[in-house]
Amino acid sequence: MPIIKLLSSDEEPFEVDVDIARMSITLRTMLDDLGIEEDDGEPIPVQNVNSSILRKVIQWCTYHKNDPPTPDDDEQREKRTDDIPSWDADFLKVDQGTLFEIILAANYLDIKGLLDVTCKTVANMIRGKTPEEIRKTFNIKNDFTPQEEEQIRRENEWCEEK
Amino acid sequence: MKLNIDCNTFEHLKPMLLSDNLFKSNVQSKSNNKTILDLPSHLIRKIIIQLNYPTHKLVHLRMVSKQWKSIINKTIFADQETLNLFTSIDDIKSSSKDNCLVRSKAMKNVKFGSFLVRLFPRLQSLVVCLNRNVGFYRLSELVRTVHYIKTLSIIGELDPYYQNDNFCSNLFETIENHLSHLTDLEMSARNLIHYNRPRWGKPLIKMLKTFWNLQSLTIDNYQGEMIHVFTQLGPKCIQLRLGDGLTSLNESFPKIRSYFPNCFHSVRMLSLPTSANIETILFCLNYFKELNVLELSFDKNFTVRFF
Repeated sequence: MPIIKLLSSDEEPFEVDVDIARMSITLRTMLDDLGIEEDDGEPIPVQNVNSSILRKVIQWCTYHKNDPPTPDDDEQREKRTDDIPSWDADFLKVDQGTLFEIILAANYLDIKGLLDVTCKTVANMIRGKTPEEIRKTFNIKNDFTPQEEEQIRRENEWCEEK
Repeated sequence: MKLNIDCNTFEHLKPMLLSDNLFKSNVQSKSNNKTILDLPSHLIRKIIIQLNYPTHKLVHLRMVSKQWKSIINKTIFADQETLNLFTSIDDIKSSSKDNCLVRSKAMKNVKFGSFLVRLFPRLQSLVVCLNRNVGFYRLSELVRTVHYIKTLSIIGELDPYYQNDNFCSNLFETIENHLSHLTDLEMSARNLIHYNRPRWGKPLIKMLKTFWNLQSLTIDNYQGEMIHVFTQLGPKCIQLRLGDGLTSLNESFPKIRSYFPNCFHSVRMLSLPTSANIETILFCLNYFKELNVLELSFDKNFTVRFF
């Protein structure tokens, strides 16, 4: 199995199977553009992802390397968040900071399956919560002025909450 | 008081702490201190979309912060083309992100229409589900404000004695005079059409301009002469769905023959209700010259389509 080297933002090198690296569209494009098929000595910098997150991303990709390709996003398709595989659910039992870092890494590396499952995980943290509870959960500041808040509250009164 | 702690003091605890997931996660959170605020808008949008919330719940989610309000307004609602308005949860038969459960006071407030227009500037299709327990006093104004829609469906059931005088005629007048882009119309709400008829006459739908431009009409619970409906339909009408509440359907067809309306040449898909008798079916097969699909419902769960 051909191997390539990835270099995290904090300059830690990782040896990865080419097939696993190619699960990232960003890396696949890079490898194709540069004509790299296996390790040629120079590590490929993954600038936006630090070593602890890159390790997690590689771990996820390794587990899912034989998965069928994730279908393209279709907004009309019914969205579900109760279908997270148990391995992924366990894998994503991390603190919020790590979860958001993984989301950002999955987005940067363009790994659709990982991005989907992490976004579903966050969606599950939001589901059923009031706006105030959401703010509390994610430490989001209520930045509406009292007037703005009053206006939006008045509009919202037309719609049921549940 | 000064406290000196030697790191080696805790050295013996290290293996135990390292095996603890909590400790690992604390270590990670120190190095990975990102929050949801660090996500770009398109990722927050993706998370919100994953919730698969109906529209009314998303309306409330805008309260989280200015950023969330902007994302929901500008990247979700601004592109939404369909809205299904309900006033009772019992009327919602299937879940859809386009469903919007509103409080009855919205249907009495003249500003509700402009709120919808502001929120859904690209609305193409509006479904309004009427409910017996709600007064739809401002429905005409609501329909007038969304003048750019192409599809309007009025479903559910109305309590005629709970509405304003001329509720129905005002609504038809609004549709006729303001919905100039309308191509698909469904009027299947019970008690919508017949309630304010004069005691001595049958109800009458008069929307010549609207019907002339329709591509699709679904009509039910109309107890007037179907001939008025057929003769108003124009040459663009390709789909016609007739419901079981049309009490004089079978008697209407022989009379229609002599008018030879435009729709005889244009309708390609015709849906007949369970009440259609064999003569009506044969009539339709004979006179609708362009018919490709004839849908016959024998009961609620059994429909046959002929191609």
